[in-house]
Amino acid sequence: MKGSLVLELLSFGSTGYGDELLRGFALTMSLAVGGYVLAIVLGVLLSFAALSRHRIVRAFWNVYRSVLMGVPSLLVIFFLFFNLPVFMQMLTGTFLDVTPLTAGILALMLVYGAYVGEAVRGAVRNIPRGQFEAGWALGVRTIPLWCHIILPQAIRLAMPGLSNIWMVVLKDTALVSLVGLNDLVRAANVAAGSTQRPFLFYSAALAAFLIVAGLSHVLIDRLDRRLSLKRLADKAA
Amino acid sequence: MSFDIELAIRLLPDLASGLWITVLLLLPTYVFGFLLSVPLALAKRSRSASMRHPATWYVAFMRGAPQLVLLYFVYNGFPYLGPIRDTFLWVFFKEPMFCAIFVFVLNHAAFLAVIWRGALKDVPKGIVEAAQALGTPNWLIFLRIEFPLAFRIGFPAYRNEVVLFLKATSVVGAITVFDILGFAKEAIDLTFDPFTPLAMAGLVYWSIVQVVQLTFDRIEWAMRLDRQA
Repeated sequence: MKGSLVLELLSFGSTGYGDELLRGFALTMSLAVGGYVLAIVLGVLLSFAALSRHRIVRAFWNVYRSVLMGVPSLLVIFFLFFNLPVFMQMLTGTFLDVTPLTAGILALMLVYGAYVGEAVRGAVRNIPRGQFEAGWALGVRTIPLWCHIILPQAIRLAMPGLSNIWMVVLKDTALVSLVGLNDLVRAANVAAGSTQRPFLFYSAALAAFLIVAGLSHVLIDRLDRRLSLKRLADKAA
Repeated sequence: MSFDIELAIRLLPDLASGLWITVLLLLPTYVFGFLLSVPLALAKRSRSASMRHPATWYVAFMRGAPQLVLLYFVYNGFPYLGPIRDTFLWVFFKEPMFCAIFVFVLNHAAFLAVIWRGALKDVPKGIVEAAQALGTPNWLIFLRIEFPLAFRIGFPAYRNEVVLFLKATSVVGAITVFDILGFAKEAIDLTFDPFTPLAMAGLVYWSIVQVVQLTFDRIEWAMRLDRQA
């Protein structure tokens, strides 16, 4: 393949697919970031359920975790994409169109919320009981106790798990292209089909995923070092 | 949106053939993925850079790439390669099922290699040194002492990967392989019922995952060191 042809195919404008790929990449990234952030929020709430004193709340968590970790995320994406409009109509009485992006973000949130919940639950369980007891002894109320004492420590312990989940969410965004989202994968697939140059476009998509994954690794390492206890102790000294 | 029991029963034969396809995909993935992962882990810990670097890059590539794109790459891309289209290899790569197995084996091996690599690091050095002092050949040490111990250490992580790949096979619909999810999606198109087929497919996946979890619980229990003493 000649270099000039490659440049033309990847160029912006009507002859190249550069703009389509870039727009797809932006969608992929917003899907990944949106799904991940919502999964963290849901996961922290779910970890409260997992650690609850009430048996019914814990039972709810166990069912939720078992179901969402027991089925493929693609199935959840399909399920929301096909069922949410009907469900919303039953709930509100008006028809609401569910876009592939909405279905995708919600599916990633629901599935990876379970994984985040599991990671945070494990981290909280590993915090010494004395931390809770010291808080209670000082008369710290439940909400400040969690927000200022327990969760900041739990986040540090949950970091390896949470960064793994980010890597998986990033790759799982590719699945949302199967319900018609014009993300990077779909853009590459369309371009590969119409130009008969599959290697060029699939390689471009793969490269984008690998670069984002590599950059994430670097950032996570840096964050890990910044959050490390040793560094904090050095700073305090 | 309600569960249609009659439709659910009519779907059972389709789901069974989908399940068969999923099992056909998984068995070679698990067997060959495992067999390939052990030399890959050894290459990753090799002292020679010409072994270590390719293995490390291979693993990084396979772990960072979405399986869907890898499937497209092989299924839609390989027919454009002369050495594949014009030789006996074409007999295999023209089959979407073979392409899927090909991708999953290579992918699974990379994920397992990381697990064995980490587990091998945690095998106590003294045991290996003791075996060396007794004059045991290195390959025998690896086969009978190091790897069995590493397998035990890496077992919980291995179990996670097995479950993850079970669920990951559901993307093969994208390259025209009809697995459990594929049949469910076809049923949606035919019946316009978006709920029942997917609920049934979910139930099938969930059940296999539970069976796998219970099996691994059993194996983990059987491998406990204090039980063998």
